Amino acid sequence: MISSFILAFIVGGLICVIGQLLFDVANLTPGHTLSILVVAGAVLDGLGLYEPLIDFAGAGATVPITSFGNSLTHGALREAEEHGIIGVITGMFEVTSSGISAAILFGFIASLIFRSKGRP
Amino acid sequence: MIAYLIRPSDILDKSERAGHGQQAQVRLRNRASPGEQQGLEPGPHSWTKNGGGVLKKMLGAAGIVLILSGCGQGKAEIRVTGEPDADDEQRAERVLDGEERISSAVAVFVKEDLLVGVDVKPLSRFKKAKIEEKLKKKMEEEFPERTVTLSGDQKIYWETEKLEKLRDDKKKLHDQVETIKSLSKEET
Amino acid sequence: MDQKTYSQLEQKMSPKVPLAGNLIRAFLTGGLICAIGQGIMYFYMYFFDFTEKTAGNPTVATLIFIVMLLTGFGKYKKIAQFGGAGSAVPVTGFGNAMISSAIEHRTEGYVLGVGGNMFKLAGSVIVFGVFAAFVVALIKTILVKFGVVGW
Repeated sequence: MISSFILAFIVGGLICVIGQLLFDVANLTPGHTLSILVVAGAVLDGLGLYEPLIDFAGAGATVPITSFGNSLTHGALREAEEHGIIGVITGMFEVTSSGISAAILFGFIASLIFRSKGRP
Repeated sequence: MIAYLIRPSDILDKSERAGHGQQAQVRLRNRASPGEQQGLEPGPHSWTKNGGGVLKKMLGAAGIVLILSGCGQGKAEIRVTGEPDADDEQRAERVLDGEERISSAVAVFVKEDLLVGVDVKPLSRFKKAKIEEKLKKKMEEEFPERTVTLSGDQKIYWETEKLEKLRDDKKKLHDQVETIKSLSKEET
Repeated sequence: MDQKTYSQLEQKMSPKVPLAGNLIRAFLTGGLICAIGQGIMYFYMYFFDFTEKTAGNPTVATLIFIVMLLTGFGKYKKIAQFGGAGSAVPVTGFGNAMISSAIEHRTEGYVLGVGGNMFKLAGSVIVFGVFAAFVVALIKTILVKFGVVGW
């Protein structure tokens, strides 16, 4: 069990290092960096590599933003597997990511209870 | 990554550093801190002097733990519970013993069901899905008359482990097996 | 070594100094957030009926809830200053971007302020995530149809 924590730490940390390299070396904005990582997650899932990474690293693979791309693609692929090409299109309307809904929900709740502390 | 740990001070000898040190300092200041790049307030950026040492120590410690936990165990520990027939135990052990990438397994025989929870070794988890598939096929060949449910999921393994305590309570055992079977079918 | 070669060498070397520090801090911060996520995941697996596959969703939601509190009390800013990408790449960074803009634009009203500005940074992530998922699924389905790859 301790090894799962260590693997999550190392894999999650390395994904963040890739993000930092995109910030510092490629001089990308956070928006660009996060978009690239999400697309990378989607492509990795298409190649069938992201699920094994989740098996390997647990939260180290589900917590970084790349898992958005993975869960969206996974939903679309599952539908496509059942219904073919039409499934890709209908699948796109069914895919969700708990991260997005949670961020919307908690963001709205936060705006109800917290006040901006005079930040520009 | 190790290459980035080399600082100019390691490469230039002292006399050169004395002459141009200030220039280098200015350069450092001009680099945007991570905070600034995210549109946040610029923070004081004092990257720790012994940062490299901390990282090396951490990686070293992590490596040692990984080796200890991953490769330290020898053969897989196999337990059989539920209501196995006469030679079921040996047959299950023979099949599961051949797999070196699992550290332990619990096989539960209940009526026509065979429920197997396996604990895959940490460094083999990348191939967990393939290991599950292979073992399931082998078990189905060995026990064609039973419905085999096999999973390398930690939760399923914990739950099958708990079934060992339910040996005497037949009804509860059957209910639990059904619950675990439906758990293992759930998707994200 | 004359002035020219020195400045060349300096050019080559000096950006790496803050880079090394940034990378280490990103690694430590990101790793720590993921390790905390692993702990939350084990909590859901141990006390509730979640498997490794299904525990990811409540884990992410819980992390974003924690981020809501940290953002509301102004603490996440400090983590972001230290961790750089280590705090931006995990979903906590995505949550922070949405939550902080929701709090900031509250004065402009709930519909135009909160609702409209929440997706300023996060919007691009959602757009490209959904579009990439569509393209990848389409390509894979076509490849499977022609028998190039299996599911």
